[in-house]
Amino acid sequence: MAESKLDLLQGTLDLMVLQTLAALGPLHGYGIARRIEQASGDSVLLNQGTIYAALVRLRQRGWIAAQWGISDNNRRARFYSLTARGRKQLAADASHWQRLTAAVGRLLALAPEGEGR
Amino acid sequence: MEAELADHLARAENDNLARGLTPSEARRQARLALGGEDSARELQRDARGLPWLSALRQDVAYAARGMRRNPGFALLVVLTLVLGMGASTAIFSVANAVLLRPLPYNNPSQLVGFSYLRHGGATARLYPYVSLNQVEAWRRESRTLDSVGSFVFSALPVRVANQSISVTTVFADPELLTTLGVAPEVGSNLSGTGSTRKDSSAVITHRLWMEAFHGDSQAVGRTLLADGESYTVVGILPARFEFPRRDASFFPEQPDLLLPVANIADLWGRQYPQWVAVGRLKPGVGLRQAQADMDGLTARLSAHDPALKGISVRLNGLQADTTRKARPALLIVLGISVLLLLIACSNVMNLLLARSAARTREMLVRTALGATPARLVRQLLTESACLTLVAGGLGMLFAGLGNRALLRLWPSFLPVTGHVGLDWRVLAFALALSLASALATGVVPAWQCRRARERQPGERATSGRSFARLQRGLMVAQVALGVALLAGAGLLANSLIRLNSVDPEFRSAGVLGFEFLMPTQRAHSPAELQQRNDRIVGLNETILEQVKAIPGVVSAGLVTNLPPETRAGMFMGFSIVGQPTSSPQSCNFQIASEDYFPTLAVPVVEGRNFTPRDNSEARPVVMVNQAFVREFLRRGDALDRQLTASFNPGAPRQVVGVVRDMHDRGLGAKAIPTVYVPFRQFAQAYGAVVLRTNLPPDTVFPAVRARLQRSAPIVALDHFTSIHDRIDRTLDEPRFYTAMAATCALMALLFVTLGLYGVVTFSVARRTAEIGIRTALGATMGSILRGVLWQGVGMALAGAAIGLVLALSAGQVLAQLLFAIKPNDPATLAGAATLVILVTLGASYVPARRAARVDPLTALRHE
Repeated sequence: MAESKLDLLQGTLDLMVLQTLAALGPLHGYGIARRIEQASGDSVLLNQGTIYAALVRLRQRGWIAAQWGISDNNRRARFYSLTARGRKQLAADASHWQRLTAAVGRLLALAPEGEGR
Repeated sequence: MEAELADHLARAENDNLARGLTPSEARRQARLALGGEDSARELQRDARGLPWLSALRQDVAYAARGMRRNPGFALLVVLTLVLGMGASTAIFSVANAVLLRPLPYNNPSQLVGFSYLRHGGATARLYPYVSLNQVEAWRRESRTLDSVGSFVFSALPVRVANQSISVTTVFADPELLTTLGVAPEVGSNLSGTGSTRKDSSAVITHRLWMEAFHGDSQAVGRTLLADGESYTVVGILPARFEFPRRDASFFPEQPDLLLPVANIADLWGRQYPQWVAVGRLKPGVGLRQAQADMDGLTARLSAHDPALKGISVRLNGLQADTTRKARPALLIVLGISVLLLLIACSNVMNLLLARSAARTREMLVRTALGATPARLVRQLLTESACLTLVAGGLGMLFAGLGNRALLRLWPSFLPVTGHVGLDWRVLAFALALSLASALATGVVPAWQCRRARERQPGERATSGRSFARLQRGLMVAQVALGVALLAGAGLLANSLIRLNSVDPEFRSAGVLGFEFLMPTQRAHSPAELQQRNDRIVGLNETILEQVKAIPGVVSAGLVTNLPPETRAGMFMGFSIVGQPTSSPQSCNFQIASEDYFPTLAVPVVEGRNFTPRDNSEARPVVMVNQAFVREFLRRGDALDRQLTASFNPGAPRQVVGVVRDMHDRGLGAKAIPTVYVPFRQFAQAYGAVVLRTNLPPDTVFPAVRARLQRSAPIVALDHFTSIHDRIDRTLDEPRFYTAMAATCALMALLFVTLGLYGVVTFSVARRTAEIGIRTALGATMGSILRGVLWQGVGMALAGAAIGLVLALSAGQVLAQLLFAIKPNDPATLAGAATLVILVTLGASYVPARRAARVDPLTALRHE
């Protein structure tokens, strides 16, 4: 394990939650947390507790909806799902993110003269 | 939320177990991954609460802490605002009741009053009367009036259950109540329609029902005698009902009895404009449309009725009519209260400016810790809002007290309809005031703090030059307003003192009085008329005799109106024999007995007084006062002149005496020409008795009542009072204005003192370093003191100058309220200005002394 795990910024966590719900459908909090960890290849340092704060934020903005249900281990769990607005937001955020990373990547590719030898 | 976290942990544990960890390790790893339940919970809680609400809570807590640290400042601000808001709310709620509250009738905006205007006279005056013929015509032909009711006020002796009482009465047609949209709460309206058919139905008010019938549930159907005629009670009006008061200054009390106008219409003359009318516009019709319709109608009617020629009828909204008399006074009152509020707000602004300048350092620290300017502004606004809302709440309490006090002093000449409390409109106004104050007081310091943020580190934290200029400007404005208010109060107080010291020219010490009223029978022949007059004169004599017979009564006399009488006088037309005039003359008219002038100690300056021999068999005589002689008798010799009175043009009357003028129309009013007729030569069924006694009223009045109940039970007695009280009551109005102005001026002075104290303190604090250096370089305490004082005095002088200009221009408004003093009275104005300057000197003195005592070392260390 060479690199240290990357600290996750608030906005990107929201994006990852939305994406997870879009890909996997309605899911409970633990599931979302596990999925993000797996998908990022465990390279992301995730304080799982922050997931719940993110979920509250997203619910307040109307991008996800919550519903209590019985989960597979016969326990009561809250399931979150994407709303129509959330789907739109996800599309916008994703495209913004891609443009951003592309731009930053291009910038970083401009290697300065006489370095990296 | 707990369930959710528990579920999360359970799953994580299971997964860990599946991976092969021991149960305890599984649990631990699960918890670690979650990052601690508590922190998860907290994060969630933080995200859950409405972010602005939690910030608000923080701000409020911070504000509360700040106030606790600086209680003096908070107290000062709250006190200023409480006084300002409380006073203006109390004043507004009473003004509200008079000006803004709608009339207590159904849909009052559709009600109109009628006045007639006679063209072709020297001055066009609007008289609030109409004739019954006009009213009937309007009912038949108007296209815009839904209904019209007519009425007239009177006072009648009413006999109910063996008691004779004097009752203010309204003669009206049944359409009055229907036009107003009011129905009796028990029973029914007067019967019939219009004003042609005589009727014996009567409607009483709730109050009369309680007082005369003692709330008898069988009151409807009972009879009462009004002016000697029998009536049957058919209805009782609701408790809060009031009759419209279009020209009822002669009858200050609310009427208690409603009788059919048809019974007196022919007697009083239905063609004369002496009736008051109220109309209701058809739905959807506006005032202008109705006026146009009325103009057309009057033009058409005048073709048939010559009495209507040269007359036009004007319509006014009833609400506007009723409050027109009160409006100027009330606008003054409202203006003063708004002024007070402005002064209070500007004072608070000053205080906040002073404080915020001292907190610039704190703002910088917070900015360095990451606060945005918006956050700082919001926090400051929250602080001011907290202070003002607290002050607003306390101000409501204060307003409630002030309200009660104000009502106790409220003069009777300003009509107050209904119950005056703090109603929802007042609350809304107070709340709006609170918020407006919060914005006004919060904005400037908050805005100034934004600039504080842009300061570079190391720069002087307090550079309040623009603060100071703003403060000084505000102070000058306040001083100006304070001087203007004080000058106004001084003028009014001066006027009141002068008024009070006027000698009424008649005796009031130990003189009491009461009014009487007896029923008048209709006379249908000269013989009956003579009988009736004899009866009336006889009753008058009985009243006098009985009163004089009371032990302790030194003398008693009869007169028409008790002095001083400020209501419209009894006027009679007359002409002087041998002195014809082109236009009719009229003057004040009173009956009098031979003891009237001696009881009041008014001397007869020429000729003789009346004697008991001046009766209906003797030659008709009159006495006049000096004002009459001055005005109407060209030759100085008044005695032996003769005049004929309009009520009996056949018999000329001889002037036998001249009495000295009295201030019987009020202390501030000049005596008007008056003719006195001996009561035995003019049968008047109402009048008043003045009596001189050393006994207290509580002893004499019951004796009067008892004796007259025995010997003249059909006479109704009323308004037992002392002449001294009557004189005192004429001072009610000026006393009210003076009290109001004085209170406001004192409050303004208080504000000015507080404000100036704050300003000078701030200015000194700002210049502490400079003062320290100057002291270190050898400046004396005295010179520092003078310097600071001079700053305060400078503001005071500038403010006083502006204030005097304000006072002079506002003087025109006051002119009509002043007696024997001009609005630009130099002594009063100079006094006001001097007082304010002295006050400001005093207010500057304390901080000035503190400045002079500054230790140069501490001052320099401040840097």
